[in-house]
Formats: sequence, structure tokens, C-alpha cells
Amino acid sequence: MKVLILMLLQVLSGIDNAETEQRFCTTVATYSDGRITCERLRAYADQQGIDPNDTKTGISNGF
Amino acid sequence: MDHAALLSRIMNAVDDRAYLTPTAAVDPTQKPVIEEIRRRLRASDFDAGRLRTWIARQHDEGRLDRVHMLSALHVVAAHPKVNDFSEAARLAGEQELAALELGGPHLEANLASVDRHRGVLAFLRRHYGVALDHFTRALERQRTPENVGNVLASLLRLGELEEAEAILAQVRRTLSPGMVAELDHAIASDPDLASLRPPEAP
Repeated sequence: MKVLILMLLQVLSGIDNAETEQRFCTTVATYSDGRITCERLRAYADQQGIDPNDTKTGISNGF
Repeated sequence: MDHAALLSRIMNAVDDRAYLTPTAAVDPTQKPVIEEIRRRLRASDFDAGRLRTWIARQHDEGRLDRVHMLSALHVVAAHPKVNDFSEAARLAGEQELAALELGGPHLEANLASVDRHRGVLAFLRRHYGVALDHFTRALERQRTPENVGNVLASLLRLGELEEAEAILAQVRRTLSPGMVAELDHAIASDPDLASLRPPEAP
């Protein structure tokens, strides 16, 4: 969990770096069938700020 | 929200006497187009308008049935780059009606998809008890690792760690080895399920 939060913070600090973002997405969403994990993280950060207790990567919205 | 009743329903759904549904969550006839939609959703140049047009064309040209078209449009609407929750909710309702009209052998799976979409909307709006209700219904209709994972994630958000652990133990006894492996993979990679991971060796 701590590693993921750290990764989140790293990504958010360089949010315009597409390559970093892509790496992050690949790392977190390794089983991403139907998931919108990385984008949800981005949206969460953009709209509500960072909450270290809530990485918001959760659920699966499969078809 | 009566959590005790919900937990009872979840346990019934994962009970070893319960009927086991097939593992394939998506109708195989729809799978090629759905896989392509997934790929486009994950692309760095994802454009919601373009994707919606493309999805509609797949339906018009007979490669995607109406239920899956509406499901895909919902997933686009709920995408954080779009964040159109009212459209996502409307599409879930339309998908439900389309599923009922279509009927057939995939009715339960199609309705489980609707339940899952509604649960996702509730979860994204931070109504975890409501999300749990929808995800439980999805699990009752379709026993897939994805639906189990969503139930567990909602329970953990509600602070119900013991119940989540009990359900996970039951699931491990009753799901097929392949499905258990898929669920374990989800637990290993999903931060929302991190508290269900086995403790690391010292």
C-alpha cells in the first residue's frame, strides 16, 4: 500500500509526463480488464486532492 | 442499509451448495469488439466522442448487440475523463431494459452487468453501502472474481474487514482454482484489497 501511495505521489508530481504516467498505469493496472484504474487516480487527484488513505484505485467496471 | 442481511446474501451466493455460473463474463460473440473497446479506453489518446461513434457503428453494423453497446457507452460515460454520471446512470437503466427485452441464456449475466455498473456509480459517489447492495446482486447473478472483488472492496470501505475475510475464505473453498487464482491476483494488485493480503514473512 505504501509503495502504491508513493507511486501515486510521484505520478501526481509529474502529471504531465506521459511516459511516467504510462509506466504507472501499466504497473498498477496489471489486470486491467475493464478497469479504469489510472484514469480514476488522475481524476481523483485533479478533483479532490491527494488522500494518502484513499488511493481510489478500487473497483472493476467490467462490461 | 441492513448490512447483516446483505452479508447473509453474500454468504449464500458464495456457499458451496450454490449454483456455479460459468467464468466467462462476456458473451463470446461480443468479445472481439469488447476487447477492442477496452484497448481504446486504455489508449493514451482516448477520445470519448470518437469512441462513442465507433461503438455505435459496431452496433449498427451488427458486431455488437444493444445490451453490450449500452454497457460500453456506460463505461465510457463513467470514465474519469468523461465523468458524466447522469449519462452513465441513464445508460445503465437503458441497458437493463435492453437486457430484459433480449432475454435468452445471457439474461442473468447481462443483468449482472447492469448491477455492476450501478454499483460502480455508487462507489464512485462514495455511497459504499449502496454499492455493496448492487455488487451483491451482481455476485448473486454471476459468480466471477470481478464481482467478488467488488464486494470485498465495498466491504473494506465500510470497515467490515472480518466479514470480508470470512467471505474470502468461503470463496477460496468454493470457486474453481482458476477463479481463485484470478481473485488472488486482484488482491495482490489492488490497493483497495490490500488488507486482505496474507502477512509478509518476517
